Amino acid sequence: MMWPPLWMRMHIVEDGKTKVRFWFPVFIIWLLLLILAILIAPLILVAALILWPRSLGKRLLLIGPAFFYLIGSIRGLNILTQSPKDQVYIYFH
Amino acid sequence: MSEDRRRILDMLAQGKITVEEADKLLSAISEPAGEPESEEPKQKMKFPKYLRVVVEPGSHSVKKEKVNIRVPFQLLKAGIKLASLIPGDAQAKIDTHLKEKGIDMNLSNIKPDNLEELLIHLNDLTVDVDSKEEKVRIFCE
Repeated sequence: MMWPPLWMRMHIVEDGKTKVRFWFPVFIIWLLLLILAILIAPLILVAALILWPRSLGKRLLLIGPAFFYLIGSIRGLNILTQSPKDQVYIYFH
Repeated sequence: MSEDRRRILDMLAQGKITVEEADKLLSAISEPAGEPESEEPKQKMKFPKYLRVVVEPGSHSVKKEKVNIRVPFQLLKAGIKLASLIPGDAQAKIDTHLKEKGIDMNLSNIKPDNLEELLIHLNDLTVDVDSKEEKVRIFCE
């Protein structure tokens, strides 16, 4: 089973000094998005029914799962840019 | 060249066997005996999990910047899946704008199924760009 990343680690160094270093609980964002998705689900269903004759309804219904699949795939994304004095490091756990 | 292969070719040169017969014999010895063709190798094939891009300064580089990005292939797959849901006319507009920016590609041609095939071929791929200014390595892991 695919799980979305729960934490985002960020480390920013400027002129050799650590400016930002934190673990951001990204699961809070996913929870908020989930609540939002549940709230707007009836509206999406109505819109999908209206747009069904134009063959856009099915696409509209599939966007939700595809979006959550995208979120779940972020785990493991790792970005590091480094110069002798500066550094930006982002990692999704 | 193996002894069997040499013998077959000798027989062909002497006219003892025809080209078709030689072909059959050569293909018979090239296939390991008793090993039926199966889907096993495909199953054993390991899909790469990440696409890695590493940029490092070259020997003559003034800037000593390094970039190291690891992108999960699952993310690319998800992106393609999401892009495939974009309606046709919107895709055409995106393609036009991409073309204007110098990126000539057709979004509608990229399907999630194609990515599976691409992943198999990407498994052994390594791109190395080595210049005086910077070294770029793109590989799968």
